[in-house]
Amino acid sequence: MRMRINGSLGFVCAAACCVMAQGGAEPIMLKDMLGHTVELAGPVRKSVTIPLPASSLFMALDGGNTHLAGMNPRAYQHMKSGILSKIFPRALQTRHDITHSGFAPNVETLLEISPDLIWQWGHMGDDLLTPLHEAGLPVAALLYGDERRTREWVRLMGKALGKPERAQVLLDWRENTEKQIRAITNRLPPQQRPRVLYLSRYRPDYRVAGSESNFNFDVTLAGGVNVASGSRGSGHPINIEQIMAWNPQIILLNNFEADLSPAMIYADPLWRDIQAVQERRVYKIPAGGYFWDPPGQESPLQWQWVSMIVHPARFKWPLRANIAEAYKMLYEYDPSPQDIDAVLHVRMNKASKNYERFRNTAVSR
Amino acid sequence: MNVSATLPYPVSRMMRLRQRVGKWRPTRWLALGVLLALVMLTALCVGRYTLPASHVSAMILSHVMPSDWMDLMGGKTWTAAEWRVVHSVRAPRILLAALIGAGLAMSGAALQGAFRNPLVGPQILGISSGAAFGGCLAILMFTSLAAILGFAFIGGALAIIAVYALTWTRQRSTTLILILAGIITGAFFGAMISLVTYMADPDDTLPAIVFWLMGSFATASYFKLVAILAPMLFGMAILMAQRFCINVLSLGDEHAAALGLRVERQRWLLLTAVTLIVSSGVAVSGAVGWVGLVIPHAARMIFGPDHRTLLPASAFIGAIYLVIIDTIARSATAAEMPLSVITALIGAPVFAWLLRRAHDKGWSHG
Amino acid sequence: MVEVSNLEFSAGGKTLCSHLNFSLPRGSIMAVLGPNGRGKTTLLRTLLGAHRASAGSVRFDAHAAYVPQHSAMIFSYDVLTVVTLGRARHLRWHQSPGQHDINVARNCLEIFQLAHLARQPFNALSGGEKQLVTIAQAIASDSPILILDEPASALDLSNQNIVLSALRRLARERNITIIFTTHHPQHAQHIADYTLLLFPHAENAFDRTQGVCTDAHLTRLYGLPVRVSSLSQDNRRIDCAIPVFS
Repeated sequence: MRMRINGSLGFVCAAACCVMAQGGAEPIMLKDMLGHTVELAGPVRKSVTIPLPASSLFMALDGGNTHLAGMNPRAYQHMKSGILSKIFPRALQTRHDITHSGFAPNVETLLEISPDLIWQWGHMGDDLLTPLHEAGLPVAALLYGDERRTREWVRLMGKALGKPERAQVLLDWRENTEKQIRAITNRLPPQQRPRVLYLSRYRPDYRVAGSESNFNFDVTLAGGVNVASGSRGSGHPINIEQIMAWNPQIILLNNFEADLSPAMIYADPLWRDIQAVQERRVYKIPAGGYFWDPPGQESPLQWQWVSMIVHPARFKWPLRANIAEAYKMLYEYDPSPQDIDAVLHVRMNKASKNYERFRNTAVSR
Repeated sequence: MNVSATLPYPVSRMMRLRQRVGKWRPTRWLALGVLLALVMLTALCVGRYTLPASHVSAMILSHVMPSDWMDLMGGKTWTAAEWRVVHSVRAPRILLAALIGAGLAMSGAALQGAFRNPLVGPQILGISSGAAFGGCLAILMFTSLAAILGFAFIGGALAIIAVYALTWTRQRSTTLILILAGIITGAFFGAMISLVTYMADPDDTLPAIVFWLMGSFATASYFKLVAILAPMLFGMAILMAQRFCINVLSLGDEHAAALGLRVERQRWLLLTAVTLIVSSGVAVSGAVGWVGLVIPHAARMIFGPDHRTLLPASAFIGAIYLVIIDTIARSATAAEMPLSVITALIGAPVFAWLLRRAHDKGWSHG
Repeated sequence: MVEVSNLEFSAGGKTLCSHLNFSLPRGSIMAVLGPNGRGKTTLLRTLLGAHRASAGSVRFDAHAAYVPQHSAMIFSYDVLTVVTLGRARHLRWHQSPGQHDINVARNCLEIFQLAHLARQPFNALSGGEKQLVTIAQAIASDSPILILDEPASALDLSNQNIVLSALRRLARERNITIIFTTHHPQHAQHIADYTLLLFPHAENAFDRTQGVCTDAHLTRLYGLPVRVSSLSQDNRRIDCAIPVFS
């Protein structure tokens, strides 16, 4: 019953959009990150995102979930547990049966949805793209990597949605925030850059992010040193001895392991000798519209947060206010203090050094 | 099977080597023990965390020497962190690697003997796959190590029961049927593992399963060591008790039966012991390949084919081998190298060389 | 003592032998003659209980030791080890041979004057030595009954002589009952007290060797004319069967 109502609603929307599209739009030529050109009849009205960070970015650029017709089931789970489902309750009805496992597309479901554009990873081999091409489905490939590439995602999605101006706003925000941080951290001599470790996995084995990861960009920008930059890639298995040898001064915890908290690291006897543990500088990375560890629409907020963690004395962003402002701009949403507490993992991080500065000062006084 | 007619080593050279080894027969176990101890002590000094060997030796001495003697030698030279690296990180890992290396190599030697086939390893009878499936299922449903251990045993036992059921005909089971049944069982449990990975949560249980299937000692702990010590030693004790039986079994079913051996019973007892060993190994370190296949060959080349010496010799060499391999895995690069990759990198060429030799000699040359 | 009464056995849906009756006193030797595929090996396996008989019974007054036809080993144990394997019957599953077992094995090697080979790898031996070592292994089991599958067929004449003489000595000196199969009627004529002929159509003939190894019987047995003749050498009468090839 519900499905039918949805279907008809969708139909009405789609019909309305078609009218709009026919009314104003011209064909859009989209050159994806593998260099293939995709021709769109007009701004996308029914899009599917297979890469994880793409769905929330798409929603942010779109200003809601109206044009998102399908998303990766993992991204759906992340959204469900985070603030995005509160901001866009209707997003919970987005189809998420579009992959078989991982990023392999479920072509039959996709044909049923018949989206006007599918976003897919372009760096994981032809296997992920060929079935879509063969089924005659329009695909735009995204490449994972550095900040330059993330900006290209924003630009491509804005263009596809027919909202290049909005994409430009996001891009300018990234550019400005990066510039402001660089102005301070660029001059830092190596000995003033703390050693930072991003623990991309704690169980079953320890994994860290190397020099070609998004984290490496974040931490270098914030004036720290990625202790694992000696290796490339983003998911190396590491043993505790190596971590002891690196002896990081700050440890940042991933969001993919939902229950992983600084308290677990503090309690682990094997980690006792590490400087970050002794100085209580282990932090769970915040999670907003999407996790802040991977690149996304909220990256500038992540950079601000990391810079405050790495150089508490040098950076004094009004982060809570900045979050509120950014959420208004990105999602048309006014976050409550509790919302912001949740984003910043205030409770999980409360035993860690200097985290009181992220608390809601208005309430505590 | 003609393939398994005889081993490929040239008699003359092997005989010379064996005679040389035979001369120090009474002391050879001592020599192997000392070698193993040396390898383990060296491994204790090697790792990513820089730690002077003198500190390690001082720490070890502190366990056996009275404290006032230690004070004379300069007292505690080590830091608390160094103590923890040696005692909580390296020691359990080295002990676990040694135990599992010994168990797998001894299992391999026993299987090759009992099945009259030098190409048989613990993998071939589906025990590893069964245990791995049990472990994967446990990871999917629980988090506790005890559950993984228990399920790995059950999985391994299921595999061997399945093999038994498949070979249960009016006639007695022959070696060939048994190996075929093992391959079928292994393939089936392999598919079940794929099913479990398919059902696993990509953020949570899937990485755990993938990590576990790869095989690693990176998460070694005394708890794991203690958990598998009893089943492992029990299994190895049964195999050691059977060491002469295996000599008789290697004559072939009918000949062995004519010599008065209860072939069926001994074979299943042996398989049960191997299941115990392989399952405990799989439970704490995933499926570590190649050790059970290649080490018995090496041991046979040095110590001769008699299973009374081959079994303990394989255990020693397996322990030494796996400790060395794991030390490379944990200290060669910043990132952990997957254990199975190194064992395969060394094991596959060695095995290919053995096969090649066997082929050149037509499998019939003694 | 071996007693077989009314034995019938088959393989591959074909009855190989029926109404087989014989009885051997201790210390006697019986040869089994018959062309390929007539069921010689199956008979031995039936006697040992490795093959199920379709009718009749086999009675041994003690356990029997078996020497299979092919004695190539996958694992080239040393000769003494190979012989000690014969002690398996007297050991519990978790036991290894002790000093006593090793002494027994050494004595068995002495019987064939093979003690000097004790530490040689089995697969380095000559065919005749291998056969003797395998027989020594069977002897080591202390079985009063010895069953051998073509013990001399793959050997040259001098080695045939060594093996046959060894068998005769075992029967005479150790009172061991011996059953062996062979393709050479002369082996039967040389050492066997009794001979069993496996005729076509599941028929058989059993009697003292001289009585059963006649022109008519052997001709029927092998499907070509065979003449039994004898000659004198060193005051011994030597019987031999000569096939008349066409």
